[in-house]
Amino acid sequence: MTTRVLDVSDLPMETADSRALLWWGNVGMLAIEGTMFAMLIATWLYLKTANFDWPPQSVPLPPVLWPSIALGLLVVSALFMYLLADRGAVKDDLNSIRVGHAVCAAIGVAFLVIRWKNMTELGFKWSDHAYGSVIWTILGMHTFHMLAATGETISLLVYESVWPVTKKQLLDIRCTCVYWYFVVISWIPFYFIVYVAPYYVRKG
Amino acid sequence: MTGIQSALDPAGVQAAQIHNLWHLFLWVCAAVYVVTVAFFLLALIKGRRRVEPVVDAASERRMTIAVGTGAGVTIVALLGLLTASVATGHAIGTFGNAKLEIQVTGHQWWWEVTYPHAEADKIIRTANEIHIPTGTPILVRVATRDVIHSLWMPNLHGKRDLIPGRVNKFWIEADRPGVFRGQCAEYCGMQHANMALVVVAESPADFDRWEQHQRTPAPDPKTAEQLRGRQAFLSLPCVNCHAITGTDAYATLGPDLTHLATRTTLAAGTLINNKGNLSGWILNAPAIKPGNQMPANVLDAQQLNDVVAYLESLR
Amino acid sequence: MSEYALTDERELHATWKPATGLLGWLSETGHKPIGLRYIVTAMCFFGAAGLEAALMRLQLSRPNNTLLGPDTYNQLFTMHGTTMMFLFAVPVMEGMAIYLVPLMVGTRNVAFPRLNAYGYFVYLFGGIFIYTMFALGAGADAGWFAYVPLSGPGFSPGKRVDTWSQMITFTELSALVVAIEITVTAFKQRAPGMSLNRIPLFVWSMIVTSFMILFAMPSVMLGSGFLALDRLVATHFFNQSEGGDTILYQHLFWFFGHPEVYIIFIPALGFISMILSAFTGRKVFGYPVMVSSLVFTGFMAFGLWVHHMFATGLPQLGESFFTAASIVISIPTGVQIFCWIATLWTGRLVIRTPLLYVLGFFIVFIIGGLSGVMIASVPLDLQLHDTFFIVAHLHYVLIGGAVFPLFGAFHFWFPKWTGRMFSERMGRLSFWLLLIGFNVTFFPMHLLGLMGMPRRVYTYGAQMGWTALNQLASAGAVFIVASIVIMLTNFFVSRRSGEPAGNNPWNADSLEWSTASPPPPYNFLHIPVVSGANALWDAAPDQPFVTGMRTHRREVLVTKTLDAEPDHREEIPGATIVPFFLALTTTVALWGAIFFAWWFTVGTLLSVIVLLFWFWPKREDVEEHLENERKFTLERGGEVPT
Repeated sequence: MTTRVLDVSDLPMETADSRALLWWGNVGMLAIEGTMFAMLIATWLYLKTANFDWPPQSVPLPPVLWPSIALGLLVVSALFMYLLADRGAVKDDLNSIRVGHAVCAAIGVAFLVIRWKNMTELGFKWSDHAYGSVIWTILGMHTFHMLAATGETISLLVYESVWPVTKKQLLDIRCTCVYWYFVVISWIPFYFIVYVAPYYVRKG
Repeated sequence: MTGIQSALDPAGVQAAQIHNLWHLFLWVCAAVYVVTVAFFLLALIKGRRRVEPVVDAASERRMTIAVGTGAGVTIVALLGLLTASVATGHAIGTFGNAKLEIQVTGHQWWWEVTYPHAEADKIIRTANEIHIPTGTPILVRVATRDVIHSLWMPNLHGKRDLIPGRVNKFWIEADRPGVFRGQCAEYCGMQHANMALVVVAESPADFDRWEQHQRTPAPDPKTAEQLRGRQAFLSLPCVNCHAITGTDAYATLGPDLTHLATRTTLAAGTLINNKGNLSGWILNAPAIKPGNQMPANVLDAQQLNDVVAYLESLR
Repeated sequence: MSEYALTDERELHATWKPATGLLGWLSETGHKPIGLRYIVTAMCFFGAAGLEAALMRLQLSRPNNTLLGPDTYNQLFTMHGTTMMFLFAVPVMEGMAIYLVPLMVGTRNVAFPRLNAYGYFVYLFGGIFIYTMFALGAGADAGWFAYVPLSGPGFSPGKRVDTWSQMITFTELSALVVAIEITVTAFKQRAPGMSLNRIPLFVWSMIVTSFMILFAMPSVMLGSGFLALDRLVATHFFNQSEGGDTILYQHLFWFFGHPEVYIIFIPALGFISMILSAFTGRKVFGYPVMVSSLVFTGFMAFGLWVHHMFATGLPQLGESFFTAASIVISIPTGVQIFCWIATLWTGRLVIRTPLLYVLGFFIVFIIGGLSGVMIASVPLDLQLHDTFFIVAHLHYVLIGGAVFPLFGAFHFWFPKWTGRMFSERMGRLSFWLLLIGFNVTFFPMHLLGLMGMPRRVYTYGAQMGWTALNQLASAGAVFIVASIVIMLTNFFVSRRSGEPAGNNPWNADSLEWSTASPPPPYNFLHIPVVSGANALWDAAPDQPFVTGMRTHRREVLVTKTLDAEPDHREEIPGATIVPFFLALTTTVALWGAIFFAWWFTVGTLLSVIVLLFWFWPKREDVEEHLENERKFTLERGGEVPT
């Protein structure tokens, strides 16, 4: 009796795209965080319907300039991440990747500085009222992710400037790009909630 | 089954409607169970008898029809139950103008009862006991001073939660006289188990008499004992929490004691209202209800006797 | 076809064998040891929660009993519910999945072995955390769902509720980790030929469960997080007087809480299918309908949560929607039951202990499902909510629906885990004791609820007429305890002295039965190829298998999602102690935070450092990768940079 076999020795040993296990794990993690963010937004909406004054009268209207600059920077960084780091990883172009990471790391740090300034100038604390609690939680959670994403980008930049990069690292880089997009895209609804909604939602 | 706190012993319009719905659900669900388990047991018998599993196309088709029929029957039965449920919910939830309104405010671990009135001197304040006239739709508004409680008087209606910042409401209507019991049905802390109330359903004439009486201020002391008792009451920590209309005691932290002696229980349904229990409660409430807000009190025998005599006179 | 090389078993064994000693135990990343750890740890917590229940039944066996005071009793019912739900029921199902799913889909390990190890340690530390605090007098005491404001800063001073809410963080983190692993393993690592319509029903149930975990856990993370923030740093999410809302907590909790019970129940539905299939000798009837029912139930579970809040005074129209949804969800489960009855009807029955427990499911769970239909009705629920009727219902569905199948599964897979058969006589005895004891304990509670006995009461008056039924319920508990003791004794003794089991003592159909008992660390000598939904029964005498994988590295085969065609190979990590350290730093962050908020930052920074160790590539790995890539490219006529 012959032994029928399925020989897989021809198959590649590493991929840096959506077929990889880590890619799916990353997407799973983003699904979890995304759900958390969605529920945070739902919490904001729920408390809005439970309150006549939302935001409360004691809350000053938020600034427009610097938060919008920050948002713009973030969106731009996503483009850089995609065009340089992500496409660079697909093409195995290490220089592109390094430049992309450097630019995004710089933007990330700038964003975090602006964020710090904004948070200290909010005009209310998390312990002042429920509105403060929700807004500070939104800012806190997103900042946590921004710190993580920027930190990851800097670590990768350090690694790829000194040590050899294999396909496994290219996969890591692409997963980090996806995480970066998530951090950018998730900020957009939050930006509207924190900096735009008060102008339209407050009664009187 | 019957009992003073039983959903199976309805004494009110709403509870009766729920009870009818219960019967419908019980019989339908029991039938579903019996039929399903019968088929299940039959399947076991057939399966034990087989030598080989039967998986040919004809048999699978028969099984498909069987499963489909089962699903269809189930869906129809469930739809029927759903309809009955929604109809009952509508019936118990809507009412015309209530002839009487009662406000119940939950505290850890007692029930503050108020019968509101446009004229301030006609407002009734009592605790842990409700009187209602039979045959009369009554609006019950519920609120809480602290945590979530739930007012449940099974013989009259389902329960309603008392939620901070909200006033919930529901309608009850007793259809026969009797004495029933309600109990808190949402875990509210240490003494959740001992937060009950007495519900007295009586004829409208009896209720009117009760209502008139409750509106009067506390009776004046008639004996020396009672007089000493009132003086003691007004100088002891009692006045920090309890009110007695017609005296200088007007604090609202604890139950109103104006007509304490007309109530059948003490400590939110925990004790029968008699001299011994009242004495024990005054001396050391935390021993009876650990965690209770009412502290132990230091009184000598004479003082205790006098205070109890006074409180027992508060008819 | 090129020359193939049959796998070198010795090298495969050397690559996959677990490390030994204490260091080895802490560095374990194999899915079978970790799965068994989850199960054993969960059963320890089951025992603790069972003791708590026994004490409660003792207290309630007499009116005005003074065995336990209110504070102790309130902690006991809270710890019982919390332990059963968070530290037993979900982890034990996870453990079963971690052990079985890779074997059932025909791979060597889960997709993320280090994450798996981390998840277990986080779960273990979370359980140790809450029980340490319990022993120190700071046991949670606000109920297993801890409604505000009772659980808030105003009415629950001290660390009790902080401990409770932080323990949730531990266990939910662990559950989320497992959910990701199971999903990725089940979708990407299936043996060639195992297309979606050939996936074993237990794996399907775990896929559905994992998706549910993914979308439900964040809600309780937020709810318990907001509670912790309200208590520790004075936020006002639930503070009515500062714009917060009491009911928000209930929405956040139950949006998780309802799917949670299905997260516990759906894996059990998977067990039933696997066991029924083996003991009827046929595939479960109606595979597509079974899978659709699982998926539909998983979706619908998210649309029921308000039925826990019917007494809070929400608008009637909204409540009716949730009544309808709560009734409709019984339809797919009912259809599954009908399909199983059809399977039994047309199968050839072999009665053994695993099957007995599954048959017990039918008798017990259906009662729970029907009492569930009753309380789905708002008017009925207004009477029955928060009474012993609910206690009866939840135990009928959880014990009938999850524990009976789970114990059946323990007996079913015991030979695979240990290589030995258990005592069939002891198995049957433990089954009958459980069936009888359970019904004697919990059936009377339906009546107690109707007769007015609320939940969570440490005592009741003699005049209420509840005494006799309470005594009956307490008596039944003795049988339950006896059943568990006999079952555990059966397992302990049979581990050493049971009959050798062989690969497939039940002649079952899924892949785990094709390998040795217990399986070798690499699971299969050759990754199998699958030709049907019942892998072993549909296998040809010369069923092909996979060759050409590397044996000096821990390599798994990654296949395409829909049809499981081989796609590429990936190396997964071996033994490492880093996950253990990450779990330690996580514990520092979470446990410390309830005492002093800055511990959270310290713990997070420490975790970042450990994560650097986790992710930093090893020099020799990088060099081998580069070498492989060079060879791979050259063999295909490509060019490599010099």
